[in-house]
Amino acid sequence: MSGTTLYPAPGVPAFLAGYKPQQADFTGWWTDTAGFLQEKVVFRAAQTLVATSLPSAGTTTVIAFDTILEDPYQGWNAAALNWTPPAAYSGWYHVSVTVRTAAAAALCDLEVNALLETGSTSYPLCLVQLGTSGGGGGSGSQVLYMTGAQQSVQATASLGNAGAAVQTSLTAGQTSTMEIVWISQS
Amino acid sequence: MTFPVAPAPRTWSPADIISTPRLRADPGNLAWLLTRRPMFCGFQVTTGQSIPSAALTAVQMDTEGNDNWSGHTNPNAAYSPQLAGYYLSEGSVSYSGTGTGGQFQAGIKSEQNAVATYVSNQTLSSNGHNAPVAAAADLQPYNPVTADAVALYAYQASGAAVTLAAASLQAQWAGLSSGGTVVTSPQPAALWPAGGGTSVTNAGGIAAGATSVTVASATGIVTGGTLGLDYYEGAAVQAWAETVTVTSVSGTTIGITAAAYPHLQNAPVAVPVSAAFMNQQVRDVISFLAYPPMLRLPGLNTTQTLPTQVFPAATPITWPTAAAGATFLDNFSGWGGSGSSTYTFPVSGVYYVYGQVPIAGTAAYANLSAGLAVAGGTIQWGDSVRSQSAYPGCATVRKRLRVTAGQTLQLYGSQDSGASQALSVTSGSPLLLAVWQGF
Repeated sequence: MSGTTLYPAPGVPAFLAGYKPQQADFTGWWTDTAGFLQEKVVFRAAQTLVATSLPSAGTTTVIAFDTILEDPYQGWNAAALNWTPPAAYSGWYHVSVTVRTAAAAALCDLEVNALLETGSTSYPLCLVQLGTSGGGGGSGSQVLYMTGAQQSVQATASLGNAGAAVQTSLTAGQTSTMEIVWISQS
Repeated sequence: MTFPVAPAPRTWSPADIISTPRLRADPGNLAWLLTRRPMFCGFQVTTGQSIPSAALTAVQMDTEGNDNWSGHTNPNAAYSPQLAGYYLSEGSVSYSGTGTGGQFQAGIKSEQNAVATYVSNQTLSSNGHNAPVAAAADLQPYNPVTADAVALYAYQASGAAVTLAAASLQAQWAGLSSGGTVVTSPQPAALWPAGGGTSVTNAGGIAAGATSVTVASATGIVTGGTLGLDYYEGAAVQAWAETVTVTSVSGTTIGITAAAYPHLQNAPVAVPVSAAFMNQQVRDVISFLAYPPMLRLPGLNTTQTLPTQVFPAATPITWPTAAAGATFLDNFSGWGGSGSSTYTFPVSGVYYVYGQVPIAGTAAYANLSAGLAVAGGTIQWGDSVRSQSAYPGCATVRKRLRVTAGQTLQLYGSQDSGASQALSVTSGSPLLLAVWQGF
């Protein structure tokens, strides 16, 4: 029970009347589906090593998560900084993002988004006035449909009314994170 | 179009036939339900709804991303769940314009048995340069029999109407709201017994009176099940064939009721699909997935205050006994009780956790933060926002945490206004949600 078992994509079993099933039949009908529903597809990542600089000009910037906490289906692309569900695992995914920054000047805003590719559709998760001492941060969630092996999601952020660039935080407990969990096939 | 029904798996007894109708009704129904989980995903894209000042206003959803159980009609605000249960709802309200001041809010409106409840979530201040986007979350029960519904609502107190730039609402079925069975020790999905069974591997076999046998494979063997010693595919292969009951399973070492006869090494052992196996692998798997650990701790009647602290110093939120009328949920009994700040995770796995820390208002600007701590470890912070003086503010945190059963969860708040601040019970109240989502 550690979230590391990879199961086939779940299906609705077709139990056949009058059919004498073998072990392999029940594996396909129920064991694999139950196993998948118990573990699902889970992705968790944090940014702990190298900060992202958020420009004062308000440019939307992809958060460079560099510490993969769990990714059993290996959907993370470290170069593209996105996560893609595997082929055959298309479905609805629940995406939660927290972006944490160093302390900002007063009246500086942070906008956090989930960016769905292909198509570059940006979903606003929150826009907050950042804290001015000890660090700032905003968080939110969005449910997205992603086609396996074809669509991916990134976390992005931008500043507003900022007189200077602000770095994302690498302080333990104050780091940016993204988590994704499979919800449903349709 | 037909839909699956709320799971109510049967308890199997030894005489029960594993029939196709029974398999369709239980595992078939659960698989259908959770691969097509009741959910709604909607957006406000075209409306540009006007939100009057100081008025709770339900937010219209004019575009559906998903409405797989047909509970919504464009452009209504309300989504009417078609299957009774707890729903995890989230959303966001994107305000527009450059109105300054505080209290730009998002929340979840629940209509239950014709009674409307507004739960305020993220409450933000505007600096006059960028309009806030506030986020919302809640976990509430809804029943189609009483025409229950959920909606996102907006509230702002700028003094003038504000137009929305966008909005989103998502609601997903999280588990049963009644009739659920708590399974405290859920087992992972396991292979069904192979038709050919297994065999005795003890060197020299086992003697009469033995209460333990080692087998080649423990597949399908569960405590309470039956083994056929010297049975093969349902037929006795020796005159001393007998059945025994499984008392324990430890790897390939199987505890059994005392054997009446000796059995040789390599003797066949039949492993029928026992009632005990069906109850563990069908009934209990279904029951746990349909009624996983869920928590909703409301702080509607809290009297707690947050001292002024330099971030990241923080104070754990303590939870009073739930106020009358407030939705309280702790189906696996993990909360420490009135006045406690801790929830003990009952089952290992990944949990969605949401918390919010609202303050009633400050005399000066304050930095307000919300965070979560597991097992007393480093607080994992969510929002750290600037709260406007004289206005309520609410910081939120949402994380997926992988935890071990027995570890504790606490919600923390931190504010640095220079004075102690009361937690709000009017413009939002403290709230802690947790939903098990996977092993």
